[in-house]
Amino acid sequence: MMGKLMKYDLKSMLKVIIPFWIAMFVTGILWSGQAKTALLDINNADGPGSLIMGITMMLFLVLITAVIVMNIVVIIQRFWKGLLKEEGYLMFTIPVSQRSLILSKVLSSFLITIGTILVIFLLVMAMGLMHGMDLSVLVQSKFLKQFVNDWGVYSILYGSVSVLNGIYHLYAAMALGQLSSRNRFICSFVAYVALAVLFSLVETLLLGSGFHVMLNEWLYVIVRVVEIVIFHGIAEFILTKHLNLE
Amino acid sequence: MHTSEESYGKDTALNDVTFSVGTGRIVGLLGPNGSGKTTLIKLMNGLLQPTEGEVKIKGKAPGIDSKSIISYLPDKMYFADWMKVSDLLDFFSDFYKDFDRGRAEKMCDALGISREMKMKKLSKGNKEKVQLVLVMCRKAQLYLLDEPIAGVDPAARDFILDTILNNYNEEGTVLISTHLIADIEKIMDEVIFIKNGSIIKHALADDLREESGKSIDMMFGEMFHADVYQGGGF
Repeated sequence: MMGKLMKYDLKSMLKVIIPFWIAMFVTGILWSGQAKTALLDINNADGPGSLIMGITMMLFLVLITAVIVMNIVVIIQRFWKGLLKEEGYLMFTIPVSQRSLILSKVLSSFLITIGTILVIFLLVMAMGLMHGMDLSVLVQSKFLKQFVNDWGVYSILYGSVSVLNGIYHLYAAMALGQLSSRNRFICSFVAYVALAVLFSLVETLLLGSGFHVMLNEWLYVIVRVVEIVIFHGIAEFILTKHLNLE
Repeated sequence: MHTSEESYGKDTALNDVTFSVGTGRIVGLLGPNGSGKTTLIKLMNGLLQPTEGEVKIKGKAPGIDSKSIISYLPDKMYFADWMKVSDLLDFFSDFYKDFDRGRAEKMCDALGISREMKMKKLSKGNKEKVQLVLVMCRKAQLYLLDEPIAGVDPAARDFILDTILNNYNEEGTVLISTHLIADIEKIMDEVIFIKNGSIIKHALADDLREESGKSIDMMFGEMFHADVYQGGGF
């Protein structure tokens, strides 16, 4: 059933996010191409090429921010509209467990986020290549090889767990927020902040706040995983026992 | 079905409701607005949990098993706007083993509703028809239809009643909640009157008519007449 649920969740999310991926990629490439031409011309004329480069970099950051924001909006919208509004009357009456409904949304959101990261990565690479970046030098770089050997697995694992943690944080907050018959959105926001404060307090108590204490790096992964389990527990308990559809 | 209590804040929406209905029956769940009809249906669906007591469908608490045998029509549109009619047909085929896709496609064709049409492009009336077709094309053991004829014109009402009558699984039970008795009186086998969260009468429709010499609609009017003047509503 999980595959079937994910099929519809992914379809719904991709319909919204794919146009943004394409828009970001195409706009980024076009800007990059224009900036390169302008830089050459201006450089030949001893003009202020750095200004053009600065504006292009700024627009590039705006583009990336816009797609990341859209990614978060899609994650929120699929849970909010798909489970807590009218669509909930369908989703909570199909013969699947609440756990499956939540997991399907989380995994679909995770895949969408990986997609967004990949598109950003591809854009950065494409822009770099357009501006003369030498890929072979980058691949053969000692620093990069060392980093991948030492931290590659850890980075992927910690990054994945952090993305899942972020998604679950949103979902637990929305599950708490829907308990209110009025101002569900505001209550969800308050719940999000409250959970963030509470968890960071606990993290500080457990891991310490100073960098002087070098803890085992895997402890950070374990803490994130424990938080995921708690977030899931909150969301599943509320959607099972205290569902409050509009 | 049995539940002791379901509360919203200080108000008790349902109180000590117990009833059982046989198979192959069309049962009217009749009561004015706010009497607890929708709450009762939501409890049976597992969309709400009782604050006390228990709900049992075929001896089991609402869950995956009960959801696979219940076909539910809520009193609102529950489809995602991005879906086409064909997506909904796929969705019902994927999640309900008892869904008769062929019959649903034929009914959509008869209504002139293209399967490639997006739900958000359909008129409100056609959206309601698609929803009803999907719900009634399941061979369910229990159909829970919440206010299926509220706010529709006479032609749509006839379509809805015909669709229910012609498509329900005769080995199953149909529970229709409504306050518009006259329109569905002719199709009801049993009636359950609900008031302030409690069942005040549950009987065969023919027996009630015979005993009182009145139509169910007239009985309903007399039963809830005082409520309307005391601030209740129909």
